[in-house]
Amino acid sequence: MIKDLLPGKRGVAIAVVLVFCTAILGLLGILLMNTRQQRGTFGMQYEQTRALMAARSAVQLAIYKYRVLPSEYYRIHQMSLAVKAGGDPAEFNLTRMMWLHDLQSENADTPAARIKQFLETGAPVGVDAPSAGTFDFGVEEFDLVSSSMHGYTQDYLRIRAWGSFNGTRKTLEELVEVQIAQ
Amino acid sequence: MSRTDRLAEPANTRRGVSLVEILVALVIMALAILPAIGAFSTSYGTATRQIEQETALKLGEAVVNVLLSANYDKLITGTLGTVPLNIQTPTGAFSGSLEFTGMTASSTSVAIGRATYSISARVATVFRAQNIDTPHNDALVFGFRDFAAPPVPPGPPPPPPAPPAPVATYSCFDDLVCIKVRVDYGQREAIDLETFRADMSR
Repeated sequence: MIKDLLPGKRGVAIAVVLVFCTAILGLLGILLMNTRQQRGTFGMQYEQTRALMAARSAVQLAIYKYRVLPSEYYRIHQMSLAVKAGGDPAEFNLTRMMWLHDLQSENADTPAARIKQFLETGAPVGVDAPSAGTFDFGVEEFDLVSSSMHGYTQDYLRIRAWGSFNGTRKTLEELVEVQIAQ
Repeated sequence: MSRTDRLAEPANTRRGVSLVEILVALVIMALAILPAIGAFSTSYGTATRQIEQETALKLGEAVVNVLLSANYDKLITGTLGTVPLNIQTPTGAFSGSLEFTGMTASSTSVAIGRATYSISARVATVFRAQNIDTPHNDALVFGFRDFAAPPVPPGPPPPPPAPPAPVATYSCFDDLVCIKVRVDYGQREAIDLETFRADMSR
């Protein structure tokens, strides 16, 4: 009786192979999904790096403005000290906003907007060139930080800027040592 | 059991696998393994390509940082000469140099892993310093609150909204340069990075 059932065992080899094949195909599926997920990561990294470069441009532009108008900035700094001492912040906020206005790429006819135009097209304003993508950047904070050293006070500019490329945004904060001109 | 007895046994009671079964199994295995090889190859290619792209990105970023800290006066006058590059990446070191000829530079090709990387850079004075004698439109102009503006004469209170604070404009007497870095690494698309640099030396 048992011997009569034995022919049924013939299917075992194929069944085992099918199980193995299913397992292999399952693992393959996972591998392919992971590979597909990895494909987009470089594009994201590239956009992040370009956004970081835009943020660097914002930092450099802020330093540039400070170099052009140092006494104007010190006026804001004095206002900020007055606010900390209990003064009216409205005057300080207005003046600070006017300082930062040039450093936001979204504001038309500003140095930041001209830089944005150049980053996007590789050409200055007015030249119709193909766009490499959408850049945006701005400076969120621009402060003068003083640190007491041995016998003297060292000033630093603390600049917090952001940059974005095709919607990918990165923020950068830098502390720049202020040196007195010789 | 003798050989004669085994031959006498009915075929359907024999143990083991038949040639047909083995062939069928091999065909099924082959159908499963062939795409597996392709998938592994694709995955390996993607991973390798990604490592190369990442290395190129790191190299580009490092070179931008080098040029942001290079001597500004030499940078804008095109006299920077040779800039040594010793950049460590996760896959290996890029030991070479950037040779400036005027405002453009290129490096020797360096092999890291299976890819060969070459770096080129270009410095362009996009926004020039303003010149009082011969004014031009390439200078950046900043605005700031004009504290020296004449005050509003006394009289009846001004109607809302309040007029905006007056703005004074200031032309810049420094150049602002654009630094462009390109890293070629054998792929169709190279890595292009660009940023601006102000003069921080004075």
